[in-house]
Amino acid sequence: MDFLTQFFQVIANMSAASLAQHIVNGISLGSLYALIAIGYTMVYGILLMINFAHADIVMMACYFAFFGITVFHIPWYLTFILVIIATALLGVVIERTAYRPLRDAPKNSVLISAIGASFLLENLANYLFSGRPLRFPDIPLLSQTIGIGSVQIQAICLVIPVITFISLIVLLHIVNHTKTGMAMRAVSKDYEIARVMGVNIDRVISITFIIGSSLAAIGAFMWGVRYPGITPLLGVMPGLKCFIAAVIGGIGNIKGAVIGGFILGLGEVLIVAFFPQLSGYRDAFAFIVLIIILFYKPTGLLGEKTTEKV
Amino acid sequence: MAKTQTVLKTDTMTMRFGGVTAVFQLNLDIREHQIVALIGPNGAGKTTAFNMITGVYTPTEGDVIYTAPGADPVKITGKRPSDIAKMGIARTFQNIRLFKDLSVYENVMIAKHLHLKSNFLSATLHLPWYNKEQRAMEADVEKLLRSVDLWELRHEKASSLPYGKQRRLEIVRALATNPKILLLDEPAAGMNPKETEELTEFIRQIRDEYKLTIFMIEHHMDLVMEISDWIYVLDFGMLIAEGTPAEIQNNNRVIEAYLGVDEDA
Amino acid sequence: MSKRNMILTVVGLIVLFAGACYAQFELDSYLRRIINLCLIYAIIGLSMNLTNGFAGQFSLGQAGFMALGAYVVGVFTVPVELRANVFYAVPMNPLIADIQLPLWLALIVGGLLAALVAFLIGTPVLRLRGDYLAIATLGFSEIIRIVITNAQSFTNGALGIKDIPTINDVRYIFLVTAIIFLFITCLINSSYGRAFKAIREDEIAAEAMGVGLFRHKCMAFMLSAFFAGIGGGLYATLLGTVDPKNFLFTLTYNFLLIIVLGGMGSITGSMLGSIIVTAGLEYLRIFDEPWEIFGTVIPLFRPGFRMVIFSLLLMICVLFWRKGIMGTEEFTWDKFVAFCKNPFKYFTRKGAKNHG
Repeated sequence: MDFLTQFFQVIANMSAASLAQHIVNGISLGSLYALIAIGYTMVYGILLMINFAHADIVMMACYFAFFGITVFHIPWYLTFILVIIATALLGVVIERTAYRPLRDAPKNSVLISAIGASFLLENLANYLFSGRPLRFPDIPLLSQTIGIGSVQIQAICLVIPVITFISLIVLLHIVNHTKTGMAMRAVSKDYEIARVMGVNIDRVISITFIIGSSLAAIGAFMWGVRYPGITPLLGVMPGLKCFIAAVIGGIGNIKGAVIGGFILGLGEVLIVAFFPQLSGYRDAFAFIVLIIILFYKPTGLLGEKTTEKV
Repeated sequence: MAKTQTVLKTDTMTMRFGGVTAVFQLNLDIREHQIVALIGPNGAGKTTAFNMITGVYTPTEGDVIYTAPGADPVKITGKRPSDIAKMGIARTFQNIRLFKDLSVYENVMIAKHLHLKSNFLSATLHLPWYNKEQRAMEADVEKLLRSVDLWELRHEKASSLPYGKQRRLEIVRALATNPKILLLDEPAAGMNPKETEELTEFIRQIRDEYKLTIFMIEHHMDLVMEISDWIYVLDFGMLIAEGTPAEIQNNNRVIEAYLGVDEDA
Repeated sequence: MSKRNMILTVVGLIVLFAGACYAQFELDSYLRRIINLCLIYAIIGLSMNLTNGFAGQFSLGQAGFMALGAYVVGVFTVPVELRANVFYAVPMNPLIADIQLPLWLALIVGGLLAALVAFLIGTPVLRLRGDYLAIATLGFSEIIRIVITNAQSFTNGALGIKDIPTINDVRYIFLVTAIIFLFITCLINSSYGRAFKAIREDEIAAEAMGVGLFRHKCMAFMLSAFFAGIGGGLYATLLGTVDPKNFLFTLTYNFLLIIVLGGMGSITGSMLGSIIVTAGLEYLRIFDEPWEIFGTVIPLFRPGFRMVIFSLLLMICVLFWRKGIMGTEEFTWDKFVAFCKNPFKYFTRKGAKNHG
């Protein structure tokens, strides 16, 4: 009963302004999840593997940004571009060294290799940059607070959805209207047939990793502005949640990943807003949604039912 | 040949994958102790029909009805493959699905697992009643392996056997589940005439020895015509003919389906 | 098992137990601790091998199941009179404040709790595509830490539990390990073990042969959790304190390396793997200390280097040496006897077979 009374108190005390604020926060968190989830869903769609290292690519991108701005004093907008390039490169290197040699190996070996790559990145970051949290460089333009009416919002919270939206449009254009995109869709539909039909699989996979990692870099940069503590394990929780977002939306489906990202982001923020006593369990929300979805719609919201050929 | 009791029946069984209809309203009626063949060109939906009967796919429409000897007919539509196997329907696969890295012996022993009554604890602790079951299983498996000359090779990895022996092992593995109906998916694929002849004899022999009903998909017409009691012909997912081998051989629609129709004719 | 092998096994265990007694009385507590850690890691490595190696289901929940076992031991074995001292921030929940269990019972309760949780996770997830299990279990092992941190009146939250009665007793831990080792060996050699392997080899064929997929996967997963829970409980008694940070998901990676190195699907391989990994991790500690040669400090060696090497090892293992030490083979007395009779011939014959 306590629980409910508290809940009603929270609702009674919540003004329209603070509700709006929560929703903006939720949307911006959801956008970040969406950007990262796309990387998981694209790689899974093509290679049928969980790219565990994707979470750590996000983490590395944060460190890259830190070095660019704080250490080398490169202007932030230039750093932003450099971070995207460096992260995309990192993604390709991981694919070449850790995944490509195992392309014909049993699935579990690839999974182990992905975990190994992820663990290696975490340990490398810990070793090179120390385990102590670093502070993401302050970019006043983005981190300033602006007031709209009585709502106080960080500028980045408004920037995130816009950038996410633009990235999505570009991505969907690439996937749906270019030759490369067609090849990607073909490989994800049927790997073997695409290969026999002369699609350059290696190239398609590299491009997938470039796109996924670039989006992760964009997400990471904005993540850093919004939540400025950088640690070697920074990517893990968001990474897990974003994979879950991809599963919720229907793995392999880009729009699904975006929807999943928003469900998790908004849900997480609103639950904490309405049930402050649950704030300690905030990270558990995604996993509960995962279990529920897997129970009722194992293929995810937009996923197609696939049947294994016997 | 006198018709015996029906053991397996499908009633307007249909399977659609997305927009493609792989099998459309298929009615089969398989009689006890007969050898029944399902033939048709590639892609006609034969394996899909097998998969629906054995529970790998759930039919989009229609039912599969199984009548165990001395029991009432039961619907097995949509049951798990493992439950269907337990009820007495065993199968082999078109592209041989052995447990590749396990020994020949283990492959067959696994098929005996489904009738095990002991729970995992008594099995782990090797309690007397489990040991008794285990010994019975071992004796059965030995007998089966000896009957197909695989006993000497029992310690070999399944994948190390030559192709023909792998096919045999797969059939023996299915037999080890004590089936009433055995579904063979292209048992003679890749075999030369001599091997096919041996296989023909082997299928007859196991039918008689284990009192089986055999339902098989096969492309070797010599084999099909020689041993089948009844033949179903499938084309584009639909049943186009059924009958005795003699009837099928003279059926025009069957000949058309296999040879294609000449536009000008 | 033949009579000779049975006798050899018994003799082997007696010799090892004598070794454990020797270690208990003659070695210093640091060495004893490492031996105990080896044994505990072996238990958890074995438990992980049961799902990942034998049943072929990729689970990453070992740290979480360990945490459950460790906290049951932590919460219920701390003497009642010391509890006010341990739970100084938030007093212990009156429901459990007066319950104190002997260690063996707490270990079993911890194992059962872990198995129950495995059942709850497994029910939705094990029916689906294999790799969802990896994410669900990894997520679970993080959630369990969140729950432990928040359920302060039961677990003392982030402060952790101190004053857990420790047993740095090699004999006790050896006996538990030996029992679990024998249990898992017998399970794998039973009809159920064969069913697990069938699922690993080919799910569709296994199901067609009447092996109920969900039932057997769930069984392997729950047993694995049970033993991981017991291992976690022993881990708590070895450390004497537990706190949520002990059970980060990265702990699971230790066991992953153990089973990959030892061979996925080899019981004796896991035993070997656990010895190598535990001893190796201890030995690698020198890499975390600065090295000085002729008065200059080599900057390469500083805290964190050990784990970099560790993760590189995991990568190298899976990329270039996928089978690990044992592959899916086992150490058997027959091979041992053949080896003793004629070591040279043993290897040449084996070599010939591998090429043939």
